[in-house]
Amino acid sequence: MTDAAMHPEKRFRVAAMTKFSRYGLIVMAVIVLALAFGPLWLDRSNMRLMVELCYMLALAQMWNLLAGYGGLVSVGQQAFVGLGGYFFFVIAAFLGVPPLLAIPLAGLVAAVFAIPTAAVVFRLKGAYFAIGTWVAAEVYMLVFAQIGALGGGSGMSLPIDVVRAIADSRDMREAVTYWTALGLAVGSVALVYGLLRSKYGLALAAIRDSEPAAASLGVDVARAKYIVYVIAAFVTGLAGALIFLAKLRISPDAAFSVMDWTAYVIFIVVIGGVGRIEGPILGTIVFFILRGLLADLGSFYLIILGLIAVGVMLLAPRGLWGLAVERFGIELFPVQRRLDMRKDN
Amino acid sequence: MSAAEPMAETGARPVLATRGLEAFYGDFQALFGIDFDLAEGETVAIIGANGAGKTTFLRAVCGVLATAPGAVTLFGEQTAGKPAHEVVRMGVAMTPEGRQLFPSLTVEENLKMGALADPAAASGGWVEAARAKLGLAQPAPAPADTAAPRWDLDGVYDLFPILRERRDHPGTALSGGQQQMVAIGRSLMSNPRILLCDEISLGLAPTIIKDIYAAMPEIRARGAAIVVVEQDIQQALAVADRFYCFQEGRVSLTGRPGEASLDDIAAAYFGA
Amino acid sequence: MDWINAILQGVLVGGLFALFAAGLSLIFGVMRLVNLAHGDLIVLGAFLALAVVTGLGLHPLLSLLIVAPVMFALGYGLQRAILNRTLGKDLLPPLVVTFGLSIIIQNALLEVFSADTQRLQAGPMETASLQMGAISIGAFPLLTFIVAVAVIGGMELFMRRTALGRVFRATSDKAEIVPLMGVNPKQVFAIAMGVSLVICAIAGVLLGVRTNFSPGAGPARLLFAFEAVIIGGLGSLWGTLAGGVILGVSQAIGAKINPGFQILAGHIVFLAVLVVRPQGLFPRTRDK
Repeated sequence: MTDAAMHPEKRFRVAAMTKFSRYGLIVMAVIVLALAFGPLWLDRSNMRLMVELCYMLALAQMWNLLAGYGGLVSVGQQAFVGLGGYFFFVIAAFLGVPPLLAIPLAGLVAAVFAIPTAAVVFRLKGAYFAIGTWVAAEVYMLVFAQIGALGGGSGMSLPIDVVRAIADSRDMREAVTYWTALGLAVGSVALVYGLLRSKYGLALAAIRDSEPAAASLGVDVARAKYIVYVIAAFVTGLAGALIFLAKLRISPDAAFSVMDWTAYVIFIVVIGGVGRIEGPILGTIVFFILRGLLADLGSFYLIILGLIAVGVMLLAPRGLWGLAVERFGIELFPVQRRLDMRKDN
Repeated sequence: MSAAEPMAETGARPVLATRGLEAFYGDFQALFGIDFDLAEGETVAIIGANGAGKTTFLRAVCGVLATAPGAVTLFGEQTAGKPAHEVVRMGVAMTPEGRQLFPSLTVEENLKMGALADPAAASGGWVEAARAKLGLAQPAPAPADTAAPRWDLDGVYDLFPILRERRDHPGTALSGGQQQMVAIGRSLMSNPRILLCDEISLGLAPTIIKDIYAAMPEIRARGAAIVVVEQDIQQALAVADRFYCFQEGRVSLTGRPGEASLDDIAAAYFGA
Repeated sequence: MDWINAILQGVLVGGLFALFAAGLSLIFGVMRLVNLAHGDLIVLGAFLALAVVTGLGLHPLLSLLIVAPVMFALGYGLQRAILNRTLGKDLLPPLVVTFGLSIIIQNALLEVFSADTQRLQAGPMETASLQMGAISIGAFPLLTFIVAVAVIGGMELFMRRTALGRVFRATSDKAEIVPLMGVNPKQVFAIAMGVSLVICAIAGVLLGVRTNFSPGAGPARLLFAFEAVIIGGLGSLWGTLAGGVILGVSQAIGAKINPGFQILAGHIVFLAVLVVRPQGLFPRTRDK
């Protein structure tokens, strides 16, 4: 009798990490560390590009959390970008709260608004839910366009004293914005990763695979969806606050733009890969490369982007990262647990 | 009877033959090499326990499930690669388990839906127009026995008179037995050369089952070969010329109802 | 009298909303597809009519003789080539693909017709009106409403009385059983999409004569269509007409209070219906 047979617990262990993911995470950590020192080695335009990339990544992670894990396909996430942005202006400019504190508060307000919004739009099922979220976003936009104190339809700029309160020098202000954006991006990835590795992750994976099956296993599907929706609204609201901190100006059209905050985000997630944490990361990088190459083409750029998204959805529904996983079996953020059998004993 | 010499006993050309038929639901294999023959005008019963693969077999035959080349031959023609709607139009009608009537259609409209699959429909009017629009109006092989009267609304109403009274009711507002009559009538409306009946007695009272099975002789008389899938062994054997017993995706016994002892059948059914 | 006039205008424009909704509702009924490009397809219909009107000098209403068949072919082809591949259990592919189509159509229209607002010129019928005391009804809005009622009545008859309509209803009930009737469901879906786009063409032409339109006008039309469908209740064509009228009247009342409230009032009535009676006012289609 071998040792292993007497101690079967030694034959295998449950593991989530793979060799690739361990090295991958180290590489990612190095990249994030290098980016943290970005203000030292990036010029101003690249810093701005990185800020944009970071908030698009955060938005993409949240949309992926909704659609890829929660089974909630929303085309109304611009509601929470706009709410986050507007309440950042309200809290920082009218209530005099320091801007960096106003950002999380704005995110919280967006999350609070998500609760009644969910109560209404969750009455619509499946695809009609998608259009319902869009109507909700339109309602918020039209309401903010009616508020004279916020500049009505033409919007307002961030008052100069609030801008100064971020930091004294312009360089420092841009650095602070940059770090906030980087923190938001890393935080959104970590949040989704943590959520999926938690007990909730299993529930979400079950819901994604089959809602009736998940329900029959005792998962409270409605509650899980509700929680995911509110969490996504919170982070999307944070991103909204950051976006309009960086832009220094807000208007209803810009704040609640379905194109900027939902269409691009959907394309990013679909191209990168729905239902995987790596998908939005890869998708964001691909999106900014495409934009760099094609943005001069104007509306042709958007046609090409649309065609790519449609093509990917039809030909590789799990996106580019899904293709990579199929081809090479790699994963950066393994969320499923696997059984490692020891071959030698 | 061995697969190598199909229909040796009757000498008739098989209208349906399967050879080594396998079927899968994803990774799950439901059928393991089924050899099956059905002769012109013959009635064959398939019996077996729940999960034996009976319904899967019918689904594979009518093209709902994909099959390998050469596995299913209908009227001498292989069906591999054909979608269900094309296989059905070759002259096969399926009365699915659970009846599957269209709830928002009346009894008569349900019956008319069946007529769309008739390979030789010549009724004209809207049906033909719709068939043309749907690209269905191809000429198809004429029925072998042209002398037999064809099924139409009146024929079905004569077979199940209660349906004539209920013709304008929603199909699903009827009793279970009447719904089953609609489902069978809908299949007959395509004048099939092969009628596949999946669990048509399931959940019905014995007297109703008797009424439904009373229609079988007339259906046979008009030239259809019939496959009845049943869990009720007695009922199935009473109408069948031959039977196949399925067990866990394989044929465990085949023969004529009088030839096999009940013990043999029980063993083949339950897998003693 | 102002109020009665406003409400009357709302009723008449509600017919147009019902037309927007009828095509959306048809394809949802037959194949459970929610077409996010629906509004853009209506606007595409208006632009095609514009091209025919300027190219051939036809009256906008006559341009439908060309635009409607073109839109049917487009819908048929779109369904067979692309949309049929998106249908299945997963609700993401149809949404992403139709959303992508929406962006593609908007930007293709921008590229071809520029961002300028356009109008279909229909001659004297645009300004003619019927005067009844203090109430005046525009001839064209009235015509729009009559066309809407006729299209919806025609659809209802078509669904009830024709073999193809029967096939549509059967497919709506149980698409997986339809192949057993010898019918190719993908073909049914393609014809349904073609019919939906013919309705889009009619709605687009009426929209284009009635108001200015531009390449970006689609999404708002999608939302109005969707709201009319939900208010009316899924699967009921006359319910959809009622939903359109309710939406039109809500917008008219909102606009009367404050021009900025027009669209908002419609949205709020929609949300209120959703909260109070989520199945809509006149539901029919069973949700599987």
